[in-house]
Amino acid sequence: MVNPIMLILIPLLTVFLINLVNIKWPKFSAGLSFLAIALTTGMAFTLLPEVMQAPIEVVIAGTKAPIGINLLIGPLGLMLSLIILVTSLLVSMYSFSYISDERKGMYSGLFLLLIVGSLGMVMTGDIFNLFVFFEILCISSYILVAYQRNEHSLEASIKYLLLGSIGSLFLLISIAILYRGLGTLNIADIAARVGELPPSTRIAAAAFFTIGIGVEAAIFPLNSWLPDAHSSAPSSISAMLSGFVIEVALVVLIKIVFSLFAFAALFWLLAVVGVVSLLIGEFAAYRQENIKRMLAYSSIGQVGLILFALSLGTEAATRAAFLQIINHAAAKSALFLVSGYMIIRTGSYQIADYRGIARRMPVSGFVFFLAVLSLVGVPPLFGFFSKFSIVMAAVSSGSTGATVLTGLVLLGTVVEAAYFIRVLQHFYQREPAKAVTAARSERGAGAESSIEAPIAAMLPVLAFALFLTGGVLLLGSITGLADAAVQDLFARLVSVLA
Amino acid sequence: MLTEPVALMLLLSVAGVVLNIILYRLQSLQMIVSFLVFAAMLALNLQLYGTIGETLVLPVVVFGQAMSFAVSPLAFYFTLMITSITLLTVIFSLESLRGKACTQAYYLWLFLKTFGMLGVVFAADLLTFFLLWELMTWGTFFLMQQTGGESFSPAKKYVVYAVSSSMLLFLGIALIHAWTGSFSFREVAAAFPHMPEGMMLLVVLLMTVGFAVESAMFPLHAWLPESYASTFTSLTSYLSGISTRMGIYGLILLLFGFVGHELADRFQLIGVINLRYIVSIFGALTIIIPTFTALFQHDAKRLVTWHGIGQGGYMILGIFSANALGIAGGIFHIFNYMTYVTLILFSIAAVEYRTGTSNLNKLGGLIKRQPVAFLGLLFGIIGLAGIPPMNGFVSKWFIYKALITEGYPFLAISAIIGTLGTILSVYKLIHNIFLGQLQPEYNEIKEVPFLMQLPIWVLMLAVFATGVFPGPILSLIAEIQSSFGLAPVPYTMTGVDPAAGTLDMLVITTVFIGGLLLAWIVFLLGHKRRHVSQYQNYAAGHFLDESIPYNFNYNFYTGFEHIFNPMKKKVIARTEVAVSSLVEAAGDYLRRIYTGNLATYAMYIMAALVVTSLFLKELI
Repeated sequence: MVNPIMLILIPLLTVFLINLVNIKWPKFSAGLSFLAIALTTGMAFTLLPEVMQAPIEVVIAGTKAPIGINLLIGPLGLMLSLIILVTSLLVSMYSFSYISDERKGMYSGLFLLLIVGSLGMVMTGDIFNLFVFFEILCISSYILVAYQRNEHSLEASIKYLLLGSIGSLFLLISIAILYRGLGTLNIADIAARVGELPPSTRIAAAAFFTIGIGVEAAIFPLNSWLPDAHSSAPSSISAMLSGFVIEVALVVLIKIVFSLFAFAALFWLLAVVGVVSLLIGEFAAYRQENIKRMLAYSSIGQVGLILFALSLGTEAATRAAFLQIINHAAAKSALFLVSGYMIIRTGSYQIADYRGIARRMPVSGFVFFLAVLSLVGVPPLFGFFSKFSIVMAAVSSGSTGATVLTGLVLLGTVVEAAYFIRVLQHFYQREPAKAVTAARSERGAGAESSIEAPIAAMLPVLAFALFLTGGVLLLGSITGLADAAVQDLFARLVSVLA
Repeated sequence: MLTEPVALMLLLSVAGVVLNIILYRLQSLQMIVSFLVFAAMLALNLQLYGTIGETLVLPVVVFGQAMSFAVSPLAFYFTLMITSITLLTVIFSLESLRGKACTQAYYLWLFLKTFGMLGVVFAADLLTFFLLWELMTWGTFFLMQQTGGESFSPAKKYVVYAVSSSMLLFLGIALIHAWTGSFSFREVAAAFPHMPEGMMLLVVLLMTVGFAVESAMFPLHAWLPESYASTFTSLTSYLSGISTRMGIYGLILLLFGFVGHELADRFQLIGVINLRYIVSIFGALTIIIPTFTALFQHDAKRLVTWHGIGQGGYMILGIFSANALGIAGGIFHIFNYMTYVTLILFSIAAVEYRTGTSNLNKLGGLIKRQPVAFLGLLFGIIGLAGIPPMNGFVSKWFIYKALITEGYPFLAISAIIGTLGTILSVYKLIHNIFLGQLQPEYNEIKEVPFLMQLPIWVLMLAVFATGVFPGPILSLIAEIQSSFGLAPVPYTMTGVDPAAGTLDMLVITTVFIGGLLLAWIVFLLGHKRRHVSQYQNYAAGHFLDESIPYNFNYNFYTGFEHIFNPMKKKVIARTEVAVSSLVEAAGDYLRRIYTGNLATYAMYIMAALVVTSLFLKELI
């Protein structure tokens, strides 16, 4: 049996190892981090059958709850871990060629820390540990956003840092309130006794927690750092931040709301805020000329959709939200990764400069095409099924409010289709833009030759695309895992307070 | 299982997609393979006739729901149209697109689109229906932009319309599922009458508007003309001929399959005006406005695509007339329209193939150069204008008759006004292309190759034969009517039973041909004729030799334009602009929330905290 703690320990220890190796052989750092992630991913998969039987509880430092620190890995945690690990594995493969400067070692280390933070957040059973992992995640992402060291990325990183710190502070306040009232940090323990708290204390804890983690979960209006941060980070990091980091924060928020603050009003608030985020994200993306900002706003929209589905509070909607998280992780990562090489080749972020680029980067263009259609929800791609199940679940929850919100979600889809189609048509125009004609790859010369990204970068992108097209065949087993995760989540929900 | 042909047909269209991807760069192979596959599909489709009424459940399970397909009489009628017109299109494009650049994906999208359409028509549950409906509309989108550059912007417009329409359908289907707990057509139909009135009205409205977009019903038609006209002409015919009609299929399914007539009449609004009547009024507007817009088009393809919208109005009027004859007329008109509009567009494509243009200001006098195309266009426009002995007359006659007997004189009059406009504009079409003076640069052109002539001949035969003997098609339509529990149309081989209003096309045709013979005899008896060159001509006291270009065709119907121009308000175009600028403005304003100012951002967080706390405190 694999001890689940290894999932966190292996990447964490590799970070130290990388720092050592980096002194002498900086070339190996990327490979080392890739191997560590591959190993961890393999382990996570071997845990799958066991976790589906019963959640695994790991007690650290020898003492049981309520004093000790523990990890609690149920299907929900494992599902998210798999999303995190598989995405990171592919992105780290992409980074081999994409990150080519001398600071590779630093990049690989922070990359692993980002994963450690995310994995810890989804696996921990202790609310203070949650805070610690949250901080690991945030700090590594602040630095990674600033990685390119230009004016934009530094500004974005500072903003992200300051706003993120407010969020962390709020999170800490919430934890302090809970600890002061109940004297325990174990989530299960708090959940069992949260009723003992006076209502106003509980509300304060709920509000601080929601807002605190909401900053990282990019809920409107706490997501103001996101368009800057996601667009000025290296594309591989944007893929990670959009692909799973926001979603991890979101699911952790919902998990805590389910177990500690199950107020009906909070669910409604989050559902409405989700739809508002979605509309704002999609409408704002419609007017973007910078490809990465457009994708970042689209992430705000997609996260809004996921939040909407998660806060409907029905099993079907939650399962649908999990499917959408998977779809978004694959599709948005693919989009960011593809745009990374388009930016390198043309030297521009402007969509107008990519006119006709699909004819010189056919594979990238095609993957972009597939990912866009999956995000919009075109059958038979994976996104159709996730969006379809969200809408079905929302409408069948039977309330008029949910139906009206669903109508707005569908309006958002129309806007989404409009701006993505505009970009796609741009890619496939016959007359290439100057930047495209002038673009050269490191191999070939000439205006007609292919400027496709190197194979090492294209393989992971193709893997994402393959998942989006063929994922339907896996729908049965994915839904099975998502179902187990839903059960895991709903087991925490004792009763909803009206 | 007797319904194996259904599975095979669907499988073949998927195979077509895959084969075309494999043969991506080998155009000739693509053509041959596509032709063979479509021919096989038509053959399979014909076999389906014996299996009407059977259901096939595919072992593909989506969300615990196996995809189910059924061969209803309506499905058979539609698939027959789909497979035959696709085969003709493919035969036509064998020659017309040979050697043309950028056709690698042509057959691929054609197969995808056909797969979508067949699936939509065969679907026996709403999940399958919606899934394939989406696939079909995206297939249309990809087909539209085959010619590149100039077709992109109209195609984008289509996508916005089509996605909006899909989303309305989606919401409608989700509501149906939430209320009836099932996707299956049969169970939905059974549970539909038990829905609460308000919910039912909402569902019906959502789905009617959704389907109205796809069938280009006024005022939701604005996406159609440019997007259809800017692709290859062989595709224009395919898209106008069958693709737009999928919206009508949806309306038939909704009205007869789910709602039922009695229920539709229940939505009384003011006095006798009910939902059905309102849809009919939009149908009438769909006839009149686009038909008269067609009059002023100077491009043959655009002119015909505007008629594509207008003719849809007749189908709506018929189907929503609540009269056996009218419903049969509406459904029959779908078939007739498909045959003659494809014929017209193939003939135009034949002209375009040789002259390189479909601009009505630049053509003329091609009658002796391209006689087959001329005959094709002649047969087609007689059908389009609804003149005997072609099939368009029969269905239009049914519709007029039904509207008058049901007591809708205004609708009947608008249908007749529409026909008037049609006659005017089709005259422009045939005159400007084939009559008048031949332009010198087209002196040397020849008729198109045989493979392009073949579909024209086949369709000419179809337009004429189903005009004189509408019986076989009407028998299918009577079956459709019975399957929905409606009274079947009392058809005979050559028309309808005297009891329902005498129509015998054989007599009419005989009289018609007799009249033509009489005219021919009078012509022969007249003075001896002398053949002159087209330049041996005069006007206003001037001889018109080669140095004076004599071109009637240029800006044909300018007079009408002077009359109608003040009426053109471009309300729809302006609304479109307004909506798109609204979205842009909304985007700009919403983007400004993200000011870039850190202090503002921090304030947002604080405000959110306060609002959340207050909200929770108030409500708990």
